[in-house]
Amino acid sequence: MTAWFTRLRSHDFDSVAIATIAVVALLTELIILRLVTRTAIHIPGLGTFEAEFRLLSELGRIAFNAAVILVFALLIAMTIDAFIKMRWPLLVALLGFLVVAISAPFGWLPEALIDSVTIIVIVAAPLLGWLSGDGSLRRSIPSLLFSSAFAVAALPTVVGKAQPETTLPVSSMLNVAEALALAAAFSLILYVWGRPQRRSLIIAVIVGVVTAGMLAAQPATIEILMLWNLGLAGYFSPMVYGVAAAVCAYVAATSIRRGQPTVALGIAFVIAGGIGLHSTIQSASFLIGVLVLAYPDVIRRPLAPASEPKSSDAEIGVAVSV
Amino acid sequence: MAQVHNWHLGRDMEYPYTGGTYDRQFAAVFNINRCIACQTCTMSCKSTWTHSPGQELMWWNNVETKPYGGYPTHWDSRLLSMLETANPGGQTWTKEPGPTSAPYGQFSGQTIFEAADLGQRVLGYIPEENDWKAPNRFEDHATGAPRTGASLPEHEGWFFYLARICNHCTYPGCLAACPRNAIYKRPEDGIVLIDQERCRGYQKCVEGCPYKKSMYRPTTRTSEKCIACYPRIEGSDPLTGGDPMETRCMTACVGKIRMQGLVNVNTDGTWMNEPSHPLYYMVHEEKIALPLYPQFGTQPNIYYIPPRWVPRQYLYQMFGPGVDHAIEAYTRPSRRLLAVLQLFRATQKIIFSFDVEEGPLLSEIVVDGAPMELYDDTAVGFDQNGNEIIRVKVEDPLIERPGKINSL
Amino acid sequence: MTALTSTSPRTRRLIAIGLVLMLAIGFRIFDVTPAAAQSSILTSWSSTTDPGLDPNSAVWADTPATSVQLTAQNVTPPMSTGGIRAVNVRSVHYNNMLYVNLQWADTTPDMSTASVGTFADAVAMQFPSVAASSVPAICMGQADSAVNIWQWRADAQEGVSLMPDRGYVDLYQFTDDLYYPARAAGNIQSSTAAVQNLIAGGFGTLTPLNEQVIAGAGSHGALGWSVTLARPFTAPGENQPAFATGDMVDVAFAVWDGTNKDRNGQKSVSAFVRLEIAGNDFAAPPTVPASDAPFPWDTLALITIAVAVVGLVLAVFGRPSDWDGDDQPDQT
Repeated sequence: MTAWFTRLRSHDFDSVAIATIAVVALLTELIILRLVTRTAIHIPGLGTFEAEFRLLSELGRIAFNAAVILVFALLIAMTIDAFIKMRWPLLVALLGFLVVAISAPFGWLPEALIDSVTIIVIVAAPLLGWLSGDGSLRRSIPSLLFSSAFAVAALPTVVGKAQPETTLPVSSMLNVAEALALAAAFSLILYVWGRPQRRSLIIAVIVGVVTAGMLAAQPATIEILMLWNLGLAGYFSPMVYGVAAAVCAYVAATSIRRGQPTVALGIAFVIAGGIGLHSTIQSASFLIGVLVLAYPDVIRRPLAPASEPKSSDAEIGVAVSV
Repeated sequence: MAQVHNWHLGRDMEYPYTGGTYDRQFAAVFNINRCIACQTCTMSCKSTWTHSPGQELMWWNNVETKPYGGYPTHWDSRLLSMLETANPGGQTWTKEPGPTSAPYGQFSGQTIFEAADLGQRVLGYIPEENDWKAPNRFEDHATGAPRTGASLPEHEGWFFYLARICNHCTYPGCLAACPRNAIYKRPEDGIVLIDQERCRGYQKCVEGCPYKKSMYRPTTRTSEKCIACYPRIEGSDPLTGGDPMETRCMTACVGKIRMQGLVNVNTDGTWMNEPSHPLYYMVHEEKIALPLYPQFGTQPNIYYIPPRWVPRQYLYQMFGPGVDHAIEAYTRPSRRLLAVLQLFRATQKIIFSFDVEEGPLLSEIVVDGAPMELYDDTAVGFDQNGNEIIRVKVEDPLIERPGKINSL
Repeated sequence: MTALTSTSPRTRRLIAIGLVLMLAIGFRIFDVTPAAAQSSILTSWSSTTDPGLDPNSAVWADTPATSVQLTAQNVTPPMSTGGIRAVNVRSVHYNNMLYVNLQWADTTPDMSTASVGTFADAVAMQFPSVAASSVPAICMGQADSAVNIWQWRADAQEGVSLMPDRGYVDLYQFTDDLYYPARAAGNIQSSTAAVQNLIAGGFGTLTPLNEQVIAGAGSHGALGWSVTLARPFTAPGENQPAFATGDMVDVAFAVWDGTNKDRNGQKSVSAFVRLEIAGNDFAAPPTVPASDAPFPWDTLALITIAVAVVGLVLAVFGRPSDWDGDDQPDQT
C-alpha cells in the first residue's frame, strides 16, 4: 500500500495538456453542435446541403463524446492530485461530483440528488482550495461570483423538480444570476491587473465590439443563442455584454502572453459550461472552470522537466489547438 | 433568397424561390385610353365567383379612378411610400432601353422583396376592413377644373380609369409571402392560385401582394383570389367547343379595352420571340403596353396602354420609363398595329397569332400636326392550332338595312 | 504499456488522443450519451379527480405550476417580435387521459377573426412524433423527424360564422358548401374544432392529422388565458406520441397574441422541456420511475472501456517525477 502510494505520488500528471485538449473538444462541440447545427437547421432550403449538414452534425457529436471523456479524465486527474496533496475537502467534493455525474446517464440516482450535489460542489469549489490552506481569497472572487450565478440560475430548476409546489420568483432569479455572471466576467480583470497590454487590448476591443454589435443588430437571434449556450437571456444592454466579452478576451489573451495559460483555460471551461443546470458535461466543465480560476495549481505541468525537452508540451498544445 | 431574372427591371433580383419552369403565361393588354368605367367587367366577375357570404367586400376585378381612387384605399401610394422610406431617393431607373430582357432599361432601386424588413420575405401591409369597403371612392374626381379647356399632350385637370385584376405575376408577392406553400403558380398557364385545402388564413398573402388582389374571407377563415377563370382558359366551357376562352371580365368588356392570351415563355421568365402573337407584338415589338408598377418587382402580366392625356411624371411612376415611347407609338400607330387593335373583343376565343391582309387607302388625316394615312387593312386571328377564328377590318363595315324587313 | 513507454512522448500523446476519438466514435455508433441532461422537468401528476376540460377546474388550483420561458420566433421569416414572456404549465393525468393546463398573461382577448387583419390568441404544444433521445428541430420539426402539434385557437372556440356579421345583403343565391371552397375542400381552418391535431416535418409542412382527437377549452380572465388540452394516453395514430406512467417525453410550447398580429411563425416559443408522467400524486414524495428497460450492458461496456482509456490518458500524460511534495506534510 505504501509502495503503491509512493508510486502514485511520484506520478505527476500534465493536466494542463489534458485541459487544453479538453477545451479544444468542448469548444469544437460548442461551435458545431450548439451554434452551427442548432441555427443551420432552421435555414430554409437546407435540404440541398443535407449530407454536409449531417456530416457536420456527426462531427459535433463525436467532439461532444470526446469532450465528455476528456473532461472526466481531467476531473479524475484533479481528484488524484487532490489525494496526493492531501487536500481532503477538495477530494471529497470532486469524488462526490464524479460519482453523481458518471452515474447520471444510468438513471440510478434521483435527479434531485444529482442536481443538489452539482450545485453544492460548484458553490463550494472556490472555497475548497482556501480551506486546504493554499489559496488566496482575492483570487477566488471571480470564481465565487461565477459559482453564485450558477447556483442562482440552477435553483429554480432543482427546486422545481424536488418541490414543484414551491413558487419562486423565477424571472427575477434568472436576472440576478445574469447580473452575477456579468459581474464575475468583469472581476476577471483582477488576474491581470497592471500595465495594459496593447495586443491583448486590440483583441479585447474587437471581441467586445463584435459581441455588442451582434446583440444590437440581431438581438433575438443572439439572445436565444446565449440562452441556449451560456444561460444568459440578454436582459441588460448589449454594451454590458460587449464589455464582459472584452474583459474575458483581454484576460485570456494577457494571461497566455504572461505564461499563465491556466487562467485562459479556466475562462474557456466556464464559457463552455454556462450558468444554470443544463447537462452533467456542462456542469463538469463549469466546475473545472471555477476551480482552475480560483486555484490555478489544481491543474499543472509536471514540476520536473528533467527527462524530456520542455518543448513537447507546447507542441501538443499547438498541435491540438490549430 | 435566390436570384431570378426580372425583365421588367432589366436585371436579376432576389426572390425566395428560383423561378419555376412553365410553358405558357396568362397575360393581357388593357387599353385604358378606352375604358369608361362601366364596371361590366367588375359585375361579370362578381356574379361568377364572389357572390357568397363572406365575399361581400371582395372584388377580384375592379375599376378605380386615378389618381385619387383605389381599392383598397390608397393601396399603391401606401406601398410606394413604404418603398421610398426603405430606400430614400433610390427608387430610380437607369440605362437605356435594351433588348427583350431589358426593354425599359434598368431599375436600380429596391423591389418589395429587396426592401423587406428583417424577418419578413416581402415588404407589405394589411389594409383595414374599411379600406375594402369603398371600391369606387373618388370616382370621376379630376385633379382640378381646367381653366383653358383640355388639350393634348397633357390635360390640366385629369383623371383616368384603371381596371385591375390579379396580375398572375411571374414572381408573385403573395406566393413569396405564404409561409406554408399554400399558393402555387400553375405550370401550364402561370395562373396563381391559393390552395383552399392548405390555406390557414395567416393573411401573409394579403400583406405581401403589392396589388392587394389577395383577399381574406372571414366565413372560411382563408384567403381567396382571382382564379383567372381557369376553367375557361382550359377550354372546358362548352361555348367554344374545347378551345381556350378568355376570362369573364375580358369577354364582358363593353369598351373593347381588353385582350387576353397565353404567351410562351422561356425558363428565365422572358417571352419567347413570337412576332405574330398579338400580345407579344404589342408588348415587345411596338412596346405600347406596359406593366403596372414594374418597380414592385413581381413582373406582373397585365399590360396597360397608358392614357395619353395624363402628366408624364405620374405615368412614369405607374408604368416605368417606357411611357413616352408607348404613347407616341399608340398615338401614331403603324398599319399593323392599327389592325391588331381591331382584334380587341372581336372573339371570346383566345387568339394565339394574327396576320394582317392589306386593304385600300381609306383617308389621309392629321395627327399631332403631321399627316397620317389610314388603310382599311384586315386583321385575322388564329387559334392555337392555326385555324382562323376571327377576321376584322379597320373600318367598321357599313350595313344598309333593307327598307322593309318585316311587317313594320 | 512497455511498448508505449518506449515510444516518444509526443507519439504516446497522439495515440492517447486517437484512442479518445475512437472511443467517442464508439459512443456514437452504439448511440450512448455519456452525459445526462439536468434541465427542468414538468411533471404530469396522477389525479384522483377528473379535471375535465374546464380551465378553471379546482384540480388546477391545487396542482403545482412550472413557468416555461418563451422567446420570439426568429429563425425563419415571417419572424416574431415576441411579446408573451412565459406560460405557466400544469399537468395531471386521470383515467389514462393526459390533461395539460396552460396559463399566460394577456389582458386583451382576441377571439374573432371576422374581419381582415384580425388574428386570434392561440396556444400550442409540440411533441416529437417519435420518442427519441435526440429531439427534432424545435421549429416545426425536420424532414426525417416530424413533430405532433396540438393547437388551441380562441377564434375557433368562438365558432365560425357562415354569414358575415355586418352589412346588408338582399339575397345570397347560393350558400351550400361548394360556395365556401375551403369548407368544400375539407380545410380544418374552416371547421369549428377548437383544437387542431397537426403534424409538421419542416417549415411550411404543417398538416392536419386524420385523427382529430385533442379536446380542449379556454377561458379568459382578468389576468389572461387559461386553456386546458387533453388526449388519451394511447397514440391515436402514426406520428403521435403515446404516453404511459413513468414516461419522459419532450414537449415545447408556443403562444400567439392576436393583438400583436401574431400568427404562423410570428409567435413566442419555448425550447423543448421534459414532461414526466408521474405515477403518483404530487402530494406524495416523488419516486424515481422504475425502469422496465433491459440492463444497459452496451453502455456499461463502453463506460468500462472509457475508464480504461481515461487511465491510459492519465498514464500517457503523466510520468515519474522527482516531485517530493516538500510543500505538503509527509505521509506517515
